[in-house]
Amino acid sequence: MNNYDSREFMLLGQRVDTSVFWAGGPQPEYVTVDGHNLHIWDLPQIWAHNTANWVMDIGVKPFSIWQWFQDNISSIDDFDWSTSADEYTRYIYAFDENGLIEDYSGSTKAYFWIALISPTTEVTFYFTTWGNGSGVTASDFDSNSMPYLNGFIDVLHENLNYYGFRPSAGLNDNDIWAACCTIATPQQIFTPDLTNGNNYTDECLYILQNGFYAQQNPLVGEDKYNDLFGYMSISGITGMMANGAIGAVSQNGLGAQYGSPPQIGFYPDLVNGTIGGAKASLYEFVYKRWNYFQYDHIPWNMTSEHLPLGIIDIPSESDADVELAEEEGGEGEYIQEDETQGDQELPGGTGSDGESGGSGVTGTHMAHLYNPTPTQMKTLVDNYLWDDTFMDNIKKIFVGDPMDSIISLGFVPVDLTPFQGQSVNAVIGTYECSSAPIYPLTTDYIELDFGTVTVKEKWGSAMDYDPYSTAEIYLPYIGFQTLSMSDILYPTTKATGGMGLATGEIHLYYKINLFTGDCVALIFAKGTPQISGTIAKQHLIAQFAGNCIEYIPFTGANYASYYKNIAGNVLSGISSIGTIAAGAALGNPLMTVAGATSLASSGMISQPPQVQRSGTMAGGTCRLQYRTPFIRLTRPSQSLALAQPDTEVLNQKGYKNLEGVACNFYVEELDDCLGFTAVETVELKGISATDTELEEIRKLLHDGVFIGTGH
Amino acid sequence: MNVTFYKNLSDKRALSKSLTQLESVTAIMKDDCDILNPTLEVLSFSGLAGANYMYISDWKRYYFIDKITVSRGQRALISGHVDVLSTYKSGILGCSAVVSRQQSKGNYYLNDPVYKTRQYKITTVQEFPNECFTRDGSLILAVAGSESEVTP
Repeated sequence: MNNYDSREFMLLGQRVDTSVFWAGGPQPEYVTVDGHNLHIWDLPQIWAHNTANWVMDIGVKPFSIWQWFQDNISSIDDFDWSTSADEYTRYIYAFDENGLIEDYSGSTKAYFWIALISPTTEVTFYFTTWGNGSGVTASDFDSNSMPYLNGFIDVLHENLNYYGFRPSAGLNDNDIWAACCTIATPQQIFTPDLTNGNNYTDECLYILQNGFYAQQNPLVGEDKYNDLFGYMSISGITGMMANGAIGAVSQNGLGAQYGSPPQIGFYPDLVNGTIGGAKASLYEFVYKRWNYFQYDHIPWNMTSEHLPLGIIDIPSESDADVELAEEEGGEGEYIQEDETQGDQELPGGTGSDGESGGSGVTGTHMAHLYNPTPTQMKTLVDNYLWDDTFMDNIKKIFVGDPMDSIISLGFVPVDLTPFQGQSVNAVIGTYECSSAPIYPLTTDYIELDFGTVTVKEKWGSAMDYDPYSTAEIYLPYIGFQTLSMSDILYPTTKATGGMGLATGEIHLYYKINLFTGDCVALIFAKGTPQISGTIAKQHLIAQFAGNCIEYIPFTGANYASYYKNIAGNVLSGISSIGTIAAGAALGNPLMTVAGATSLASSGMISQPPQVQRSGTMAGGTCRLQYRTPFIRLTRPSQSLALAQPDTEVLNQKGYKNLEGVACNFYVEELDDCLGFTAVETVELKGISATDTELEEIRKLLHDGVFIGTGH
Repeated sequence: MNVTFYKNLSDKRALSKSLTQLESVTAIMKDDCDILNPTLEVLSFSGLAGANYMYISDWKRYYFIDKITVSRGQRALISGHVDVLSTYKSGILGCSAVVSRQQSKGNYYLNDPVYKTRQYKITTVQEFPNECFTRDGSLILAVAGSESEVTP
């Protein structure tokens, strides 16, 4: 057995029969399950304390745990820990919408924001607040409807390392409301076997090791709320009950509040001080009545044991508890949070010589783009394109068909209004169509932001990843492409499989070359692990190319041939222009113009198709496609042999009890395992058995045995 | 030798078995016998038919009873096979090991061949929120030459 000492804190996990918490029977509104985390809301005690400053007192007290963080966690980027928490009323902190901390020192407002952080640990903290709103008194609280359904809980900001909550707006100074938090720890820290003919699954119990509270001997008197909320925050479960009970002690005496002690978990006990007095010391919790557990499955005496509070010593990688963890090996490093990919500029803009167009096609001065409206196009066609004067002028410049000076006309499925310049006279070749105003485009390339799709694990297991689960992304003008689920989701590096579901975000951008219609879809991923850890903030996971322009025939050429050839040949033409532009740089502009028109002319009129767009719909089919990109996730329908139909993610009891779950960790003693256990390898030493018996033991352990009673 | 008979209701793979003691009797070996797979002769007793487990104190071993043969004269032949898990329980629990499957400490992210899936898949579709591609689109006219270079 692991040698857990009595300074551990106990938190509850999934699937709890709430009837055991309350003498009055199940009251599920008090117990909510979020993934694998249990939140217990309990206020019946605190409502008795309607003092003038109560709201204020409550509001600021959770920050005593901040002091604890300040003392014990060193790498929190966003926090200002310069202030002390010795006078709690002065320190009301908040997170604004950007996650930045604000100081509400001296504020008399009751509302506040709380931040939770666990940046260096594998512990997830949950805070919440709730209240009763404006103009009510404590007696208005209804014990059967708390937490209040009115809301009063806003998740203000969510981050990898913290959550910010606040009561909703509208609270006044003397409004009544309260706060609570729960702490959830990785399942692998300690998960005792709770099976003993009760309703609990194996994940009911989570334990933080070596808990201490920073203030070893807080006084119930002046600082009662300050200290007690520290308790509340750390103890997590039945936190408000604990706090309410403590508060009651100083005002109403112990008996009144402990007449119905909590049936489960910790509650504070006045073990060292004056009950009902102003200076009662309070520094221990009592572990009480876990009467449905097996004795030898929990690390302390069941009947009653004092648990000194203090700093929670969250196991680090070097702690002994890691013996249950897997060797991670050389996994490399994720991109750090501040190393975000995705902000590369488009070509074009202003060149190094200061000229507009820059590195774009326009910058070569060999071609340029317009974004004509239909009316402008009609004017241009009616007045110029088939006008004798225009033709004559163009012929002076271009050898061959004057229409060769028009490289292409097409539709792109994008509103280009934001990229229009001021209306100007169209210039074709070097001929200015003086009565044909037209919108020039200010850029040759554009970028479109399609936004983010959030993907979440379904099973919280390997089933959420390749090859079991697949992700396809539909990209208009490109088609369906396959993504790797491992690129999208980030489970923990020390996966526990029991602490909620990892999520990931897919951010999609398109970059489009307006000359050619060629587009590239860039797919970025941003993952959120189940628990704290360094992750990639955003990085490119894939990019795919296609074409999104629908060319419009404007010559008398064979349309069928045109549609087959147009796209590819325009590309060839543009490519040639680029090549020729290099020639221009060598000082032979006439050659380059002739070359450009010649290539474009021959290709558009008579050349057979030269370019294949594999899997890509282009030309006339462009605008017929489905225009909205989406991601399609295909996941297996997992079937576990469960004790009864239930949410499979949350209840895998039946399956696990007889089959176990795959794992890969080392134990010094098999006694550390309870229930079904199979070993990869075992060192059978100290057993005085025959060789035949040892081999049989080895085989049985390999196939799986039941450790502990009840099998 | 002394043999204690039990009724065992636990799984054979359990290290700690739930045993109900039935009778403790004296037995003799039937010929030479393998202590891992002994055959003993005992005087039959009333609860013998319900016995499926026994402990032989001289050999300090627990046994699963494989077979009970009752003969005339109230004698019974008991064949058993050693239960190594119960016999060496304390030693086994003290051994170090690399655990590959576990009831409560599993890692669901390991590829587990035991997982079963239904034949159908669950498919979900999520569209990206921003509608950047429009129905009508925009006209693009690409022309040769520079916009700023005009023939007088």
